Amino acid sequence: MSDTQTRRAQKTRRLIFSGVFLSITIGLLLPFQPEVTPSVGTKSMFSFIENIKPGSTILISFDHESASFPEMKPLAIAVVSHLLKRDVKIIAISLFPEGAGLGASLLRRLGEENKKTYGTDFVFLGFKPEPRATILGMGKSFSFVFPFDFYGTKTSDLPIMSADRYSDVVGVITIADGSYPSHWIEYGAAKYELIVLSALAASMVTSYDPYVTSGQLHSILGGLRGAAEYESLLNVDGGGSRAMLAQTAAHIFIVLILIVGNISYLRSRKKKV
Amino acid sequence: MRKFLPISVSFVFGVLMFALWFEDSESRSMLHFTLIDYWQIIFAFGLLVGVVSFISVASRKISRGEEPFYNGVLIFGALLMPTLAMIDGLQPNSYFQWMFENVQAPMQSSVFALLAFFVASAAFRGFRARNAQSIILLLVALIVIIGRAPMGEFVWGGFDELIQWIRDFPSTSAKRAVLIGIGLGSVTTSLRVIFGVERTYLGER
Amino acid sequence: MDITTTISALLTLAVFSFLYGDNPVYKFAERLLVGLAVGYALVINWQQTIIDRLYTPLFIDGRLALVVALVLGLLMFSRFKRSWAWLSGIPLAAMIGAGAGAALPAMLEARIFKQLSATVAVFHDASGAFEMFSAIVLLVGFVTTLGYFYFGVHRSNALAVSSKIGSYFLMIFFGATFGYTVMSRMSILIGRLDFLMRDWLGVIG
Repeated sequence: MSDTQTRRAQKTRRLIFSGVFLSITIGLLLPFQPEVTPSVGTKSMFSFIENIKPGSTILISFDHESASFPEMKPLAIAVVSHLLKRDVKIIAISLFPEGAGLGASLLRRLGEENKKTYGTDFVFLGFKPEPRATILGMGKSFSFVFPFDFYGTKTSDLPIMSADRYSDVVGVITIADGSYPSHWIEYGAAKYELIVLSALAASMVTSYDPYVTSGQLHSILGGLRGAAEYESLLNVDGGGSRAMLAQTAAHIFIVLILIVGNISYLRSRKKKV
Repeated sequence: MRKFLPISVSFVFGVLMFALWFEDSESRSMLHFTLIDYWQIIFAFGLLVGVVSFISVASRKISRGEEPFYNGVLIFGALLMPTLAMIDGLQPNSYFQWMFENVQAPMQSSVFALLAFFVASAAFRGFRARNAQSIILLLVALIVIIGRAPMGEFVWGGFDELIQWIRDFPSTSAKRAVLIGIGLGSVTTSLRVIFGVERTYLGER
Repeated sequence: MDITTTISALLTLAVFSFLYGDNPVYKFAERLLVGLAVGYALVINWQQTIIDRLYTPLFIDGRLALVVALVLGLLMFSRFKRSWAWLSGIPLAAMIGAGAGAALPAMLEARIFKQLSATVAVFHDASGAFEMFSAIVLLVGFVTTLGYFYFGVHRSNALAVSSKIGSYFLMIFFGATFGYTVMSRMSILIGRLDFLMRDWLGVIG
């Protein structure tokens, strides 16, 4: 590549970077929130939680890292808030070390906001290594895999831990940014008939569609848009809805550069011919 | 002995875990608990080995004079977290949790956020309508990007249904074939591991 | 604008400085992040597994079966001495063997049988002409994509055509995945910019 070409490529790259930055910044600054229509996956997750009997217990697994937290946080807030509002008890774990730190503080904050008692209405058990072993072990006994909660309290001393195996919970919601929902499906659902639901990073949505159509995964709540859809159903602000204009602006910019890129490609091909 | 012992251990653990799959899911056998214990504890020690190795590599680099400042920062970070945890544990408002939430997590998500810029740059340079395959790729990507934009429904009301159909049928069909391919590969590899044919993890080629 | 938010914001900007090119500020932030992440994983792993699952049950509750796990775990450290390194193959074999034993039935059931039956079940559920068309699309896509990955035999004309069609279905999957990935990456950047403008600078209400 000649010097001129390198300089031009660098200039184009900087233009694209500036375009991404500007489109999102403008989207965030404008005081307008586009309305979103809930998709099939969002409605399916919402109605599942809506139909849980108050007082039942559910398992939540924070299967994500802090890298994707800006996308996962609104999803987690939407789902956990709904469960707490419905008086569903939450036993939470994480299959990622970082998910433990993120899940612990998010659950505590939402628990306090909803005036729930730690140990009775919700608990955070923390992280254990090797996801398959954790899932298989929990099939026999939660308190065997997690003898202590994240803060070092003996789990057998916590009232919520009367739910000690998968048959005592209505299902698991995995809030994930990677491959861990497949472990819940392949080990939890296949061996213990556990109902698996997922709140996923948008990039993972298409990878899990085959499991939804086969009935192995109950529903997918996908990405920041999914969180915004859920917020509209639940009437809470978890950060999803207010990001929707910026999301639209970013998508418009990407469409534009795809079109410009292809026009310049077709023009250069014509020149060669 | 150096090969026989690990291969035997792998065989025993593999056969036992396979057999326990068919155990009644309500029973709570001691064997099941013991195997899960061993599996997780060994895994945890594996992570410790990784940490020790990480610190020793960084220290060696410092002693050789390779980027001593940056390698020092690496070791400082790795030792800082255990030190903070020793002060007041993992409690909600502990120093350890503060460092994680306000230093580590924001930096990590910022690194990941950089990808947004590079995805845009790659889309400009890589997504060219060169042949039938790339035209299909480009069209479907455009449908999803426009349709899933929150204001996409103003462009065309049918985007949601179209995207759902693409996801449920043509996209699922391809991913399902990939899933089954990986599944078959995993089954074969598992059998090779259990019966000692697959030994690459022992350093054999 | 409190000090905690300012620290997080400055570190975020340090990471974003990479967009201009590799520089000492980014290098510092990157090394600090890696160090902290290693230290964080060490603490969580130590407290939640080594202490909770090994030390307390073995040395306080007296579960002697865990002595074997301790010995196997310690053998992992033999990697650091060349003449003893082969011993680390034993715990490694236990871990890999257990994984293989568990994966065998799980993959067969969840990935292969369930996915295959779902492909056929769509035909049972198809009530109208469009549902039947969609079911056929699913089946054709599935079979041809499998054919695309079939490398075992010389490709006859029929197989070549089939794998060509399979590649189109794969492109639909990749296109949809790319569209959703763009969404995902932009969401993360939106989160970080929202933090800078709302929580730090306070320019958004």
